Amino acid sequence: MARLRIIFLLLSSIWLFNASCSYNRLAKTKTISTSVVTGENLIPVISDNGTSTRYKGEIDVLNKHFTGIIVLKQTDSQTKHMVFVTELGMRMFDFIIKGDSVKADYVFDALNKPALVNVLTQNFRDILLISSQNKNCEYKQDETGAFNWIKDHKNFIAVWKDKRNFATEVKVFEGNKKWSLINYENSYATIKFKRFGLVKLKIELNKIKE
Amino acid sequence: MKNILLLILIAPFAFAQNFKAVKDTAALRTKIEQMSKASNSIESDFIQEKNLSMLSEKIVSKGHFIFKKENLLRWEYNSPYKYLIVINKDKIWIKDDKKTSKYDMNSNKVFKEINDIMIACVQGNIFKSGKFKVNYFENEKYYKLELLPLQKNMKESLKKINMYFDKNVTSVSKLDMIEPNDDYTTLEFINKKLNGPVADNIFTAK
Repeated sequence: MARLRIIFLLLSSIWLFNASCSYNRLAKTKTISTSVVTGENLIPVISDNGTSTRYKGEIDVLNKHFTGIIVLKQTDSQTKHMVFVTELGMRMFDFIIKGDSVKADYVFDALNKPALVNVLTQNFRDILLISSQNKNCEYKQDETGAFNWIKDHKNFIAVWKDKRNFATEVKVFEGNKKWSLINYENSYATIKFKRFGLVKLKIELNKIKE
Repeated sequence: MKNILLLILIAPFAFAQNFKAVKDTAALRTKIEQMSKASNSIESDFIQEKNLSMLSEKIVSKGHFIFKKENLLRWEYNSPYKYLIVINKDKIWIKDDKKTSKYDMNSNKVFKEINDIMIACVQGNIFKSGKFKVNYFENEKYYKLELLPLQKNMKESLKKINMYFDKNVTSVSKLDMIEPNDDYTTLEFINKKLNGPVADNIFTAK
């Protein structure tokens, strides 16, 4: 048992060291210019034209696996919604997005645990690029390519984009330690999210063709 | 004048939907119980429509289900993507394109609840569960059972279920599940086959 604890501590230290190195490397990369993130220079996941987008969603959190249909829609100029409905039609949660905040409007009773709701709202904020929009950003470039370096409250977000300003990869740093990784493929047709640290969370979204 | 014309045009449809209370509820209950007893197997396609009122969105799913007494159900979605739920007595399998999960109904309250409602809805004998206050209605086409949940935790996620039977009471034709915020899910059963041969080995998802 003691040996297992030592192995766990060693592995945690290596992971923390790696995460910290990654943060330092990105933070210290030379800044070329600064700007503000808008819907034009970083295409949002929820479009502002009032049409809905549907994804097949898979969420793995706290040893639980959920699947269902996720509907994303802007309902007025200030409000966006993210609704998760199971295949059987049960609404699991409804998150309301106003400005850069994501709040739970409804959570199915069996899932309504504060820790779970917090993890989901915080991380969907990053996945949907809500945490990046309207923030000051530094445009940085190193030998691996160009990226945007965004400060979001206590977090730092590194965003890599394609030529049409769709995000392709996002790394989120809490302080300089914990981080999550989001990969976007084919103009948000597939979104894969992985959160490291104590509360493991994996989310995969695949756009449903209408 | 335009409004009067419109009223004349839509009136027959409006009246066709009008339901009135059933006078002899005991007789209707007996018919439903007989139907339930006589239904050894049911096979049907279904169209499921989830209406999200706040978003003005409708999610349409299509699939096929097979039920066999006692407590065997294969509920399969083909659209918008493949998804399978199999209930075999106290076991439940859920299979998507990547993963098959098996659960023990007795160790999971939510699955037990889902199982009880699904099986009872398919068989049409949900009113016997004691979990609902039941009101009985009819029009020219259907008998409608309005099921109002009695349990506090169920009331939080379900306002009522409307269950429709054809006038010969041969099977459930349609279901509406209405949530407290007025979102609702409609299930319509089409191409039904009653009491056809059904092999036991389809009720697994291994």
